[in-house]
Amino acid sequence: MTSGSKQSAPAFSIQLARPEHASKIRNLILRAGINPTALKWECFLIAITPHGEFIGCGQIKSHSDGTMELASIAVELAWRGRGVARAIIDSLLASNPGELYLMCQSSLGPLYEKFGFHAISETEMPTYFRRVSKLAGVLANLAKAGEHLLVMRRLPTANG
Amino acid sequence: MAKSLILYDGNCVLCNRSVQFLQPRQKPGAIEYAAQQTEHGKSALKDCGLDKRRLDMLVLVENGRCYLRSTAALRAFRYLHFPWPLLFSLIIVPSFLRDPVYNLIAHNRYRWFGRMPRE
Repeated sequence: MTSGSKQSAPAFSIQLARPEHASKIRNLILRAGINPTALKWECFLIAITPHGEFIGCGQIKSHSDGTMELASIAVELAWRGRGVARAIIDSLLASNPGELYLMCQSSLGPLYEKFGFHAISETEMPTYFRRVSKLAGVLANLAKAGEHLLVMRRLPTANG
Repeated sequence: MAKSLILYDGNCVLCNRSVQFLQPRQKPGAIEYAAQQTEHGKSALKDCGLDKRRLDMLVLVENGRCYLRSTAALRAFRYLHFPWPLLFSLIIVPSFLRDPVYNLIAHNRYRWFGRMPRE
């Protein structure tokens, strides 16, 4: 689908997931400590090396109220910082020009702003995101965590 | 399918009381328990690749996979009778927020709840 390198030999490519990737997606999401529910392999794009090594994934998750979420973005530790997540996100956004939401830790906000997302207040959040945000806020206060959960939105793009 | 296994700190009053809480509420035969200080517990921790010196976290072994801290605790609720499995829905909160709360309790468990008396 897309090349993952500016050099002549691509380091990885972005592809639609296949059934054999289901367990790898699940394992990576569990290790990343992000939401392990609704991981249908059919909804995922994956990053894969020319040798067939699975190195990252992401999906657009559809919620019951019709909202769409950029979710499950995860990259194997050894491949972080090499543009894998960016390539996955670019591919997902290119095929989903409509309104999108995401949830991330606050330190990742500037990264997602580069993709056109902006943090939104609780009053602007759809119900699902508002509930998770409230719950996360309680936990962040309990633990006095430096990080908090950010809910961001990207408005439909011009061709959406 | 192998039974799931909870590995807990046998010296900790909170952990022992938690096991006593889980046992009567669990689905029959769904889960086993082992203190991390026992030979069974040490062996299971080794299989998980965990350092035996660091007995500061709950571990759940499920289908050969090892879950730690808040993830282990939340997954354990799935083995209980209704309505307790509903608490598993907290798993949608990322671990960077769940685990600090777990760690706060884990690090203070002896101070707040005490140690089991030595036999």
